Amino acid sequence: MKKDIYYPAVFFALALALISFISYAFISNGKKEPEHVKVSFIIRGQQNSYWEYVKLGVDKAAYDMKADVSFITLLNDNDEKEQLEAIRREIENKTQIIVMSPTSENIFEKAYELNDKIKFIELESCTKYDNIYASIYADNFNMGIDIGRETYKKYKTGDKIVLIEPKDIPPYYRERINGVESILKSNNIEVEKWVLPLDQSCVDMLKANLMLDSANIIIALDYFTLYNTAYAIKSLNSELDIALFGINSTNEIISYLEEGVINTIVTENTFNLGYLGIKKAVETVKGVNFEPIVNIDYSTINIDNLYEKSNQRVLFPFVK
Amino acid sequence: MACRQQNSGVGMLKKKRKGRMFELQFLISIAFTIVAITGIVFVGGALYIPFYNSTLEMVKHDNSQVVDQVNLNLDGYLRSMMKISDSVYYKILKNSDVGEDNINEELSLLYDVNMDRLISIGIFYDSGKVLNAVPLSNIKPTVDVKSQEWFTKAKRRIENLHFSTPHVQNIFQDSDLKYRWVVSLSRSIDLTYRGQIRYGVLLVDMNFSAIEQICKKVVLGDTGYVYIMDSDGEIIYHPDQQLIYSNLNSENVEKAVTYEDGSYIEDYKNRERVITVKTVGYTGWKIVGVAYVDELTQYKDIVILIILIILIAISLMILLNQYISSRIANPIKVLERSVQKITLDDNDEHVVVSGSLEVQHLATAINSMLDRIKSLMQEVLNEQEQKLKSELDALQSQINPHFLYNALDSIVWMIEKGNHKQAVIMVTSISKLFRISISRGNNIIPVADELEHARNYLMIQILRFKNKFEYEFNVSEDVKEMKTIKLIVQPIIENAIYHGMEFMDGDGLISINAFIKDGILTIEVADNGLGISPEVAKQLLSKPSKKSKGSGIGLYNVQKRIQLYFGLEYGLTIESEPDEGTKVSIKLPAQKFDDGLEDA
Repeated sequence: MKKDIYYPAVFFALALALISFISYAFISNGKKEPEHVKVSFIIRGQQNSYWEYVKLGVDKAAYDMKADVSFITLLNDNDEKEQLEAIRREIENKTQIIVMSPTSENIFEKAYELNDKIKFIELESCTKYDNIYASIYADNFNMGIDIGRETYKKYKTGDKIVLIEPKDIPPYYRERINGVESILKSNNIEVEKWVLPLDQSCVDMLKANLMLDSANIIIALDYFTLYNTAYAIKSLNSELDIALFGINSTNEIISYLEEGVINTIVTENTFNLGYLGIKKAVETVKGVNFEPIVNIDYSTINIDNLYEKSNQRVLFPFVK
Repeated sequence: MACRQQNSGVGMLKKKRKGRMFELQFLISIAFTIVAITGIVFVGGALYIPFYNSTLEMVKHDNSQVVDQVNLNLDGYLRSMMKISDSVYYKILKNSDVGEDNINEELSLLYDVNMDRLISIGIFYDSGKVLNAVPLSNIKPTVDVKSQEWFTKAKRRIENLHFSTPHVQNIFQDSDLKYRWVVSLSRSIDLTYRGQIRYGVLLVDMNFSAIEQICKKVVLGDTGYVYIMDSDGEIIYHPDQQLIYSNLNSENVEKAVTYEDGSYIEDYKNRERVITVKTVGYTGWKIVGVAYVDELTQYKDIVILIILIILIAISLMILLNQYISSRIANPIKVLERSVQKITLDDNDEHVVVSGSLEVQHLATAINSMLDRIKSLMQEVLNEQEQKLKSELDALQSQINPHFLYNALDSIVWMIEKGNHKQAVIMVTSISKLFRISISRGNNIIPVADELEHARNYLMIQILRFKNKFEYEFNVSEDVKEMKTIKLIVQPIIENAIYHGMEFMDGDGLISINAFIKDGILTIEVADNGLGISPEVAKQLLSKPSKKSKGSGIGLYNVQKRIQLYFGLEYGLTIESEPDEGTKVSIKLPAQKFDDGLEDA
């Protein structure tokens, strides 16, 4: 073949081959389904409307991010042993990452001893440990400060303020206490602490304390302590004039707020907690998570602003 | 200094010029590539724009169809809600005296029939007090019904039906503690209460999930969707409603609220999308269909394919242009190298004739030009040579006036002394000398004549110098018929006499030897005079300065003439030893003299 014809012919042949190859690669690649990320979502308590709203965020994110999510609840609130068992089980089930609200400060260390490869996304608090890749939480200390300020507004000289503490204090709770105390101590207000067991006996204990000890203001810093305290107060009917302040919301807590049993709550956007938890988990597995700390919004809510548009959106996510 | 600066400036200019110059092949390749890329991009663009427009039209059409369908479904749903409201109002309330009749059973029946689409039905007095409500009828003690938005709207414009934006229904006490999202349909009503007309408000809470069901299964591309907003841009339904409420997502409602019904193209979050807007009757709500242009499978495939083809075509063009430009430029490069070689080497080579017709013509023209230049150069050279020959011949032919004066003076003196015989010899010698000098104007003469001329000269000089020296001729016979240029021996003899014999006292000898060896004719003029140093001997044959006079010029001229006539390999050689004598050899080609052909 003459060189004059040979070179163009080679060029065209190569071009055709290249076009065919790229087109094939493109078309076959375009039809590939993205691989789903396997995520375990372990909460720190039983199912209630608080976690139900978190789960709405989880489900939405799982749909958007193509994740297979196992949503795991505990039989008892803040049970570290049960949560550790759930972690072990999920590791055996070959989960790629665990999103977890910790029951204790040491749970991540214990999980590390089980498997040093497993990755965690922490919810509700910010613990520093090697296996935690991101922390998603409302600023617990500042939420405590806001509750402290609301309490101080209600406080009259001589009032007795009681701070409810769970028997085993989870990390988020400790930060909230610090926030509350920073305000009250700066105003030289003494706070009495009642330690609450994490079982059904807590209501009886609260009732007994309420009857025996004349508290004027009670502060409970998570849904478990807040709900049980409100329940105990309501059970004692109108015999007591107690202002109850707290953090977190469930439908029951909102109902107590409407009834006037609870004075003010500070609550975070629980939908965001679930949505961002899964989003960060997927990003971490895919290696695109470059933001280790994500703060979510929170609001201070009382009976007057309960049904304001913005608060409706925080308190009552769409149940679809 | 200034000159140096100027030179350096010129150097820089040359460098700059060199820097800006590109090879012809590069220029052709670049020019072709730019033209080709422009063409390809233009053609690509020309293909892409109609394709893009038709794709957009297709998307708009699809969007319109989907949005129309959603509108139809939503309209049906809203009509059914209004129908429920009408049923309560016109079939139950208008036919009853609410102060006396129990309407609860009819309300409950209506609710039960539509419970999948309804959350609640409530009838309120103008004061905000509930007349009747299903399925829940107890109002929360903390709620002020009169301050509810749906209530105030109904009271403000009593002739209309009012649709609210989604909100949590919070007025009824629910033992299940459920907080449901609803869209409230409210209207102002007249109630007959114990025969008197009272005003009130009728509330129908629509189940929000029914609206969601209408919209959520709509598919527009991979992630396209439909959302609903009211005339103020407040979102009624959006697939990412909770994300928008939680500030994790956003929607371009500010822009969409300004759109009339129809389709629009907009860029939002760096993505191009087709927006189709349709206004829902009664409510003023707007259904907005969103489809992403880049998600259309066919569109995406074809766009990528077009880009690929354009890229490959450009790559091909670059390769092809490289090939074509080399085909065009190579013959010119060959021609350039060929010309450069000729210029540098200055030889008789011609440039290579190859390549395209134009290049071949150029090469042929350059060759013709070279031939013509060489021919002209040769002519100039010949002319100059001829001129030099003439000048040298003329110079050589001139008789030294001193020599003539001295010879004539000697003749006068001889006649006065009565030495007539010697005077006759001298006059005869002078006569012969002149005859040979003239030689009918020829410069080439037989060696015999040249030697005869030398002999006459010697005879005159012996008579003048009163036999201070003697001479001898040793000439082989074959030499005589050879040719030589005239007047080449006499200047050498003159040199030998004036510089070699002047101080001799009768014992001077000048020998003239002529012989042929190896095709070379040699004529030697040897003397036994004082001799000269090699440096002086060398100087005698080199080009004399303008200040030089006498014999130095003579020998150089003889040398020059011989070389002009016969070539550089011939000429004079001088051998000399101080106090021993000097021998000057004339080397000529041994060629026979042909009278008719010489000096042609």
